[in-house]
Amino acid sequence: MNIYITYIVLGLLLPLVALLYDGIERKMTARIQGRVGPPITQSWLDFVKLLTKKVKLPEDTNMLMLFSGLVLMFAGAFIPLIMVFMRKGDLILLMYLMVGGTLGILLTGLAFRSPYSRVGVSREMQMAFAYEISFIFAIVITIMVTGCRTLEACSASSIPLIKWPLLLIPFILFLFVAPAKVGVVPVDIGEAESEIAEGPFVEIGGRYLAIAKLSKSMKMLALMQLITLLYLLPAGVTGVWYWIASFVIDGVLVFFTISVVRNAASRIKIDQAVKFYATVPLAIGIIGLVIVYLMRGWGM
Amino acid sequence: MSYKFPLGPFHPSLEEGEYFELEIEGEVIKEVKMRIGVSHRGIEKLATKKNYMQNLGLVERVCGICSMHHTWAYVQAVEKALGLQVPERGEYIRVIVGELERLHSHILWFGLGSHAIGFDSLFMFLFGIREAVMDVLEAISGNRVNYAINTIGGTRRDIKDPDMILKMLDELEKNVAKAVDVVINDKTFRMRTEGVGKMTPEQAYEWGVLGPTLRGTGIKSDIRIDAPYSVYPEIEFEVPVVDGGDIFARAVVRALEVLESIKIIRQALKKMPSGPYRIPRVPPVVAPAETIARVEAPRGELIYHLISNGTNKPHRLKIRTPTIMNLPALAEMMKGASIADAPLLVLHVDPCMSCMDR
Repeated sequence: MNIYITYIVLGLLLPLVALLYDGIERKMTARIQGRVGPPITQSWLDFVKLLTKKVKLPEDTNMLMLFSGLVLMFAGAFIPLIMVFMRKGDLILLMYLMVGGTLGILLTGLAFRSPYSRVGVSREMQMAFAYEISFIFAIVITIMVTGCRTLEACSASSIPLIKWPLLLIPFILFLFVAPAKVGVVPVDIGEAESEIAEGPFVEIGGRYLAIAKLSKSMKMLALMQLITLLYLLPAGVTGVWYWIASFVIDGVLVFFTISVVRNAASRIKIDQAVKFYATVPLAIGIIGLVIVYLMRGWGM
Repeated sequence: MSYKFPLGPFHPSLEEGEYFELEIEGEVIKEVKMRIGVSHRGIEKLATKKNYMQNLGLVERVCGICSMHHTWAYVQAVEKALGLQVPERGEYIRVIVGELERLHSHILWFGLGSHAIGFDSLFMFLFGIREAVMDVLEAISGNRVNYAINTIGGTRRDIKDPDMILKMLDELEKNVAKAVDVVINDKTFRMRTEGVGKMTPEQAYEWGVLGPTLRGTGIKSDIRIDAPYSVYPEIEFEVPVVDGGDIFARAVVRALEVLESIKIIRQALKKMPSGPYRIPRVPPVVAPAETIARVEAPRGELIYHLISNGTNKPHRLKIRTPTIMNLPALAEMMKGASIADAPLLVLHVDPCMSCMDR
């Protein structure tokens, strides 16, 4: 019975924590840019405000596609978030769920006939093909190196990066993939607000936009916690210390993989991004896979 | 299969309303149709209904960024018609304020361009350093945007504290150097600007482009040198010209122009004589005449054509802004570029839609 109560409490609290991290990221970005920035609770306030707004959609919106897109997007962020913080579940399942979130964005965009939305969907699709392969490589190499297919097993080791230096390869891949998966400059090409005005989300507002924004925040936190859990968190840390250590490391990761990256570069173009992901991270992934295979074999 | 992609009239990257209909195949722009006139206000007609002094306030509002250059060209046209000789101090004040305007206009251009390509930290930094220029303009004139510095026969205000300007210039020079370092060395900035909006010198000449857009193709053209006005002949400065013909080259031209403007202001402050800065009384009626005044606004050559008819109101006032000359070339430059480049391409000619539409 207790476990169900834990899930319900986490299910209610973690989305709020995700929004808080979004607020912290906005604050860090503002400080890097020399601005005061909004309060860290701003994303909560935005979420509540969006929930109260009247929704206006174009007449020819495909509602079925919109709803399925939003549900998929939400599920693709919410379930992984619970899984990684509870340290329960299969890594391959987690991988599928996180890719499903990307499909949710595509469906949401396809619900509208706006050219901005369509261009956004096309770009999201190309980006997904480019970076999701590196994400899959990272998970597969991690499984091959550590031998753990579940999050429980992965979290039962000592600081994984120190125990298995080969995990540096998937760790680096995650660092490449994180900005694209979260959707920040220089690879927020699908949304590119100054070019296509948020792309797939251009027509949505009110509570639908609130769900989209919440999903994005949850996806960011889930990804950061996944990196923390797989590569950085020492084993044997439980209870309050587990939560404190997780949140601190997540915060540091958000700073380095999101805030610093988005403030140090311009948005690149879709062809440049696809070319980049199809060369550097993919090469690291393939070479890493070969190295790991040769050094450890499939004995997992 | 091609489809239509509307860019504007309201778009996150366009500061002013103007409509570009792009015909796209995949992400590549095949055809561009422009519809100008979204912010037409009938200023030229209105100018014939107001007297010469009232028109100062009117032409100042043709543009929010290069407002001083509009009044500068206007007063030059009127002064020519009246045969007035402006006191030398007044001319120096005009040069100083004009170059301060070029400084903040070019920094604004860099900021907006950075925002268009998602480089928001550079955008914030540039808008931060631009504030120092705006503060000086406010200290001189009392206004941040429409300074109302020019009047027929001189300037409305004197520069009483040159040290304040010199101090700001020292600080600005350091900050601009930091920004230029980022612009030249940041890989992603170069990836977005190099080879985009390519134009050969022949094409630039044929399409009639002006200002930094032209100078970024390797053609040296600047009204301050070609048809000197005010006290520019007494000031030593270079006209930066960069080969390359792409957005990156034009960015470098503007960066160098910022440094040249700082040099001009320093010299002008040093050489500025004491004495009156305006003619106390100016006749309200202008005898029949036809005059043309040209100034080098931050965006390029600005022309005012005035026809007076012996009354206190102009018979006709024609304004030729640089943007109208740069837009046809923009349409050509956009062909073959990607949608991602479109907002940056529009912004890179530093379009002033409100100037153009008037």
